[in-house]
Amino acid sequence: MRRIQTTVDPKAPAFRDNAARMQAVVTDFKALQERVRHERPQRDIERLRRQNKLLARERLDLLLDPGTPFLELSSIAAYDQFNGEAPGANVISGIGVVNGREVMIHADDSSNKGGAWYPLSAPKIVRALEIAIENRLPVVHLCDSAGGYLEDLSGVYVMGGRVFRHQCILSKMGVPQVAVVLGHCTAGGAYVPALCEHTIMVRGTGAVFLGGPPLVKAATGEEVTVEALGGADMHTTVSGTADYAVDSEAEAIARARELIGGFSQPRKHFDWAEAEAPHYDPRELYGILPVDYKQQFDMREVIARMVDGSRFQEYQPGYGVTLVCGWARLWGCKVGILGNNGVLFSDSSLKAAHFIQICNQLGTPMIFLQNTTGYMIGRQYEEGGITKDGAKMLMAQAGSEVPKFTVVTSGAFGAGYYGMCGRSWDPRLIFSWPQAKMGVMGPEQAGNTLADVKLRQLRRERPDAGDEEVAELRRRTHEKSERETSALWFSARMQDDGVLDPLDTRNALGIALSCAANRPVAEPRYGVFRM
Amino acid sequence: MKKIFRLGESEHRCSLRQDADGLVLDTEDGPLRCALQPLGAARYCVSAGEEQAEALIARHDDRIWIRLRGRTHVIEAVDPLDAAAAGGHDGAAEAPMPGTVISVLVEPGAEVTAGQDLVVMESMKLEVTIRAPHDGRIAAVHCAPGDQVPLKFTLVTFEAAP
Repeated sequence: MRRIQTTVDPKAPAFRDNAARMQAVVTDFKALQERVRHERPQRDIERLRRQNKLLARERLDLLLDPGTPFLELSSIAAYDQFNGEAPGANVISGIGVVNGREVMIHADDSSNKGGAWYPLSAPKIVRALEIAIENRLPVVHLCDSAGGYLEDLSGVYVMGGRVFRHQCILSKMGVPQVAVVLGHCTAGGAYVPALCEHTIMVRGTGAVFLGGPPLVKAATGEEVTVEALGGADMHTTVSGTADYAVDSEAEAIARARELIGGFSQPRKHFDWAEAEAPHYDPRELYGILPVDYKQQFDMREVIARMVDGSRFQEYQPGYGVTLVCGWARLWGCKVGILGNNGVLFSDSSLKAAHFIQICNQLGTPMIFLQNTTGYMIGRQYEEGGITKDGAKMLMAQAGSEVPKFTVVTSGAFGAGYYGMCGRSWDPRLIFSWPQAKMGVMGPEQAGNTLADVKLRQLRRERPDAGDEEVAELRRRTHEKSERETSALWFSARMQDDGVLDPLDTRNALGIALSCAANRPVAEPRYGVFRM
Repeated sequence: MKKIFRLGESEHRCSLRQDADGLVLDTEDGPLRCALQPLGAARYCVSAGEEQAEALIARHDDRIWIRLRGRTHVIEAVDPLDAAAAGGHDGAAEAPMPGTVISVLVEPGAEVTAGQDLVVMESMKLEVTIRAPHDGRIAAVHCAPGDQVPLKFTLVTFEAAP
């Protein structure tokens, strides 16, 4: 495969300007992520220490193989919601290596509000289990949650049930799960360990019951201690709800590691070769990416800094040029790449639909690099069938069976986000870069439209509204649409699987491909393409 | 498959195969028995036909440097795809989208290098910079700021390569 010839000049002023601005965006994002991961009320930390409990991240340190990567998912979930009471939605999820085996980890984070499940907690666990199902990943549950958030139980109820449903599906598929009970698993939460093939409980701090002692007393008048009602010894010697009782968290996690070491290694599918680092320095990505999504860049330059040896076999280089398609290897795995180089036209859409079918014929996973303001509009293009050609792209997406992965590199607007395998089109994983912008419309268009509607409303209700008030309304509306089209906003609401530093993307995709390789690819079958 | 190598100004087609007695180089002038024996530290004993000599050999990417009998030769593997990519130097820069020209950054007669910014356009909320597809001299500029141009409109043409 041939090396991409770069035309990037790292000494050019525009490159340096981009690099400085991008570095600042990444630094801000990492600072935010650090706060979400580690900033906790002192009294919560002291409480955990008094209870002889470790912090969730300390537990991960004991669980994961040293020196191996941990791909954390949705690390900034809920950071700007619920008065900051549920950083990361009080759950840590991610793919890591335990005793040589790739696993999905769900860890309740009890260092905030006792690890209570807020309305985004169950969706975060459900998404982790969905990824485990799609990629046949064994799951480790580190259970330590106060239970559903009492102020919003209705927000937890329905999605919570899906956690247990997904656990059953994994078991049915023959994918094992391990629960480590490090705190109380009450009510619905009790089913998490009960549905695992292997359950470990810590004496004293771990407990499993449908109703805790206060609820039992209120319901039947029975007085019973936590240990007697649902402690480690009772469940491992009397009820059989758990398998191993241990004396410390360290022992519990060591036991989990031992069990996981006994799981069989899956056979890996796809076409793998020796991995090769990119020829061009990936740090140059910062200088290539304009912080302003409105400025175009050549996606080949991004591909050149992500794939093995910067080698890329471009497909149809002269046709439908606003979409770059071709093959490369990433961490040794052969992949098909589709990257936007401008607006999608009819020819680029047809090229995409064709390329998706070729990748399915070859069983090659696909990576979508999004930077799109959508499909071309205008009379000439409607007459040319732009809508039905975009529909073909969607139809090819839906018929596709090979794993798909999406990275929102800059802009993702309109139906272009769907056509390029946005979240609603089932990518195995979808990540965004921290400066990216996305939405139904661009922030300016959305801001203007909303401001016009609101201004008409204001004039109707109070015809005497002054210029200052109008200007203020316009400013607030624009601020809102600017904020609500940011990657951080989307990621906080779990519309993706996390924000990534562009420099971490190659590794993240490598892990994703390795996991996806656990499952054979089914035969594609397509619906009707409107010709 | 015969490979193409460039030695100085000339190109040679040859391929290497192994038979029971060792290596045979099939050249345009017929087969040539040869051998390469490593002597350590980039030194080799090279033999081809009746001739034998000691050589220093270094390799980087697709280039090989050979120091033989007091002279240094550079051998380069030629890839027909490379030659194809380097050709066609009298092309033009076209509008990748219909839209408005914002600025023109070159004048006729200017020497530009591949990747240099030529014209900036705006369309569908995007600011697109049209860059030189290859090195060359600008023959003519066919647009000005404010112009509405259709898809594939020729914005800038290059002088034919000498």
